[in-house]
Amino acid sequence: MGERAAGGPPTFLIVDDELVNAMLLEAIVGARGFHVITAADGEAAVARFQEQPVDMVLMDIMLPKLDGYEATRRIKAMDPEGFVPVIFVTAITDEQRLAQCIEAGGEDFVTKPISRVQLNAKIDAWLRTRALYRTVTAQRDALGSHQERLEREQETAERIVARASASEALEAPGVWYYYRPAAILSGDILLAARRPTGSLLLLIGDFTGHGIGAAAGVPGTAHIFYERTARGAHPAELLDAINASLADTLPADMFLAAALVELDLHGGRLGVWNAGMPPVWLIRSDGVAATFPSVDLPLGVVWDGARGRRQLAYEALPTGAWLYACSDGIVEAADPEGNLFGVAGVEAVLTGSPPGAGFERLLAEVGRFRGGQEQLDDATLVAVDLDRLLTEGGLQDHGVGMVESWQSELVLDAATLSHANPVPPIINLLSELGALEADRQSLYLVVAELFNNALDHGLLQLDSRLKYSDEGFEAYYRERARALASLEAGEIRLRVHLDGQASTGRGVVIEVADSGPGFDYNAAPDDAAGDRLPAGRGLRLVRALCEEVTFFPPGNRVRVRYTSGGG
Amino acid sequence: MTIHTDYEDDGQALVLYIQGFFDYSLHKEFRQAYKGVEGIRRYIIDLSETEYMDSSALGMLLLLREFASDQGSEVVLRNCSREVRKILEVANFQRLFQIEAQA
Repeated sequence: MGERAAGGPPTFLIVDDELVNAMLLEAIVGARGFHVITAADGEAAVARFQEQPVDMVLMDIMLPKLDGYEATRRIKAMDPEGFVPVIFVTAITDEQRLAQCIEAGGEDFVTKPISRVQLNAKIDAWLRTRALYRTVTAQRDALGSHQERLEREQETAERIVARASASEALEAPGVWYYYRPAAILSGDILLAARRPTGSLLLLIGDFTGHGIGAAAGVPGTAHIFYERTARGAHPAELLDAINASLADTLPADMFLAAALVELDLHGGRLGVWNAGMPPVWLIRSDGVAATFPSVDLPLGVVWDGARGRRQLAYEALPTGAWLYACSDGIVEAADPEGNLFGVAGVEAVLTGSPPGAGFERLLAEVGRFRGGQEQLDDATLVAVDLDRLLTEGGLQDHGVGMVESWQSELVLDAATLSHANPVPPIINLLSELGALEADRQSLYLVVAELFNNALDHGLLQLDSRLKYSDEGFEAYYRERARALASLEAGEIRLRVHLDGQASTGRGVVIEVADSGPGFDYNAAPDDAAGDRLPAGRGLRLVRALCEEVTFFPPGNRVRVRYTSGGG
Repeated sequence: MTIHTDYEDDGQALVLYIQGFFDYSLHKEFRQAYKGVEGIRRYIIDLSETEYMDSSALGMLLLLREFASDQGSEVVLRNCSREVRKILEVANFQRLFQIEAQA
């Protein structure tokens, strides 16, 4: 009612009880090509208006049944949003009564005798106003439904992000966190999970920007974090995986500044890797015990040159210490003059508070500093009471304490040997399942030497004396690559056994067997002069690092026992 | 690149930074990094970013030592982690090289 479908000429409702007047108006309006309907009294006018869409009404005042004022009131009441202009056309010249036209809801009036030019001018002006009104209304409605859709979508995204990043491990005793997005969705990320060793891993990060764009990277990152951590990935490997995924999927201007913290309570140490975040602090009652500033490029900026480059810096766990980490939203909180709270400000609050009070006090101070200013960036703060986490963190249910003994055997056939190196995964397995970090390098060397011996000399029958000169060194590896490519038969068995119950320390037994003919192990050189030769050193290193080295006839099987901290 | 180089002491010292796994897969890159550079008095191998090394890495260090001593230069191993240092000591490399612990 009162509304007209888009397109086609506008429809005019002409209301006049005198036929001559009605005809005159119809002639003027009709000459413009407009569509006309008529009514001879007020009630009929209201009825016509109700029956069909109308764009403008030309209304007489003196009408039978219902006068023009009342008919106008009813028409306006029927369609308060529609904006159909009502122009009174009247012989009345009394100013009081003309003013009543506007009071009744009419837009304008023209007085009889009708001037064609004046009437047309008014009609044009009001048609323009009506068009403008309809445009604005349509835009408002579109904006409203757009806003509504955006909010619905944001809520969906928020649920996805919340689900993806929900960290049960954040609820551990001794862990406090604050996580406040500037928009519904946050570009800040706070993840926590236990490694199979029982260590607690915390990732606090900040994607470039905030809101929906920044949050887009959160679910993928959270997925990698939980999945890799559960599978026992080394933190360095975890960081590589997140970096590769972000470098792959995010546009060039988006990246993740992040700090990864490993709380290795069994090992009595804590490791931090910080790339683009404010410093991570270790605070004790006597001040700052350690600070870990940003040392690397944020994640997702560049593809990696080398695996395992992102190493955590480890520190022994002091007693009575609290760990604090936060995002830019805390450090860069601004007061009404635009001054920033700053790293020094955060440190001053943390060192100026009794241990444990720093978390609440920092949030209070930042809030006061902001002085009612809106929070412009996502803000995250996490604090860990290390003593409490250690005593109440339920660590006895996790990890190392439970790893007592396990073994694993790997059989590699010729086809696999030609393209795969089993040493790094074996080392990862060992370190995830109980071998100490301090033994990683030595274990790597032992496994690598035994494996390379079995492959190079057992299966490929290469002569390491080739390596005595620079040219020979290259020739040796050329020959090795050639022999490896054409290797058709043979296999290497690698058996690793971690014995967690060894009384003198954690022992690792490594056994390597190849299907080659074997070698005269009694004749293996063992003299100090060999130190100066570029080859033949591997086996002597293994002997030096391991407690027991046993060869089995015909010299194609060797078993060594490595003891933690040994060599 | 897993090896990158830098100069110190007005170009008289060449520093080789070795990232990640120091093993035979680096032998070409390692050799290219020091061959053909004139007037070097000290070759410094910076191991701060080295994850693991095996005996072929030790072999490569010995080849560098041979190359350096032909020119009357010395080789210094710098920023060794405790673990890497242990391997070097097990191999008795402290007799052949000047070894500096992690800065």
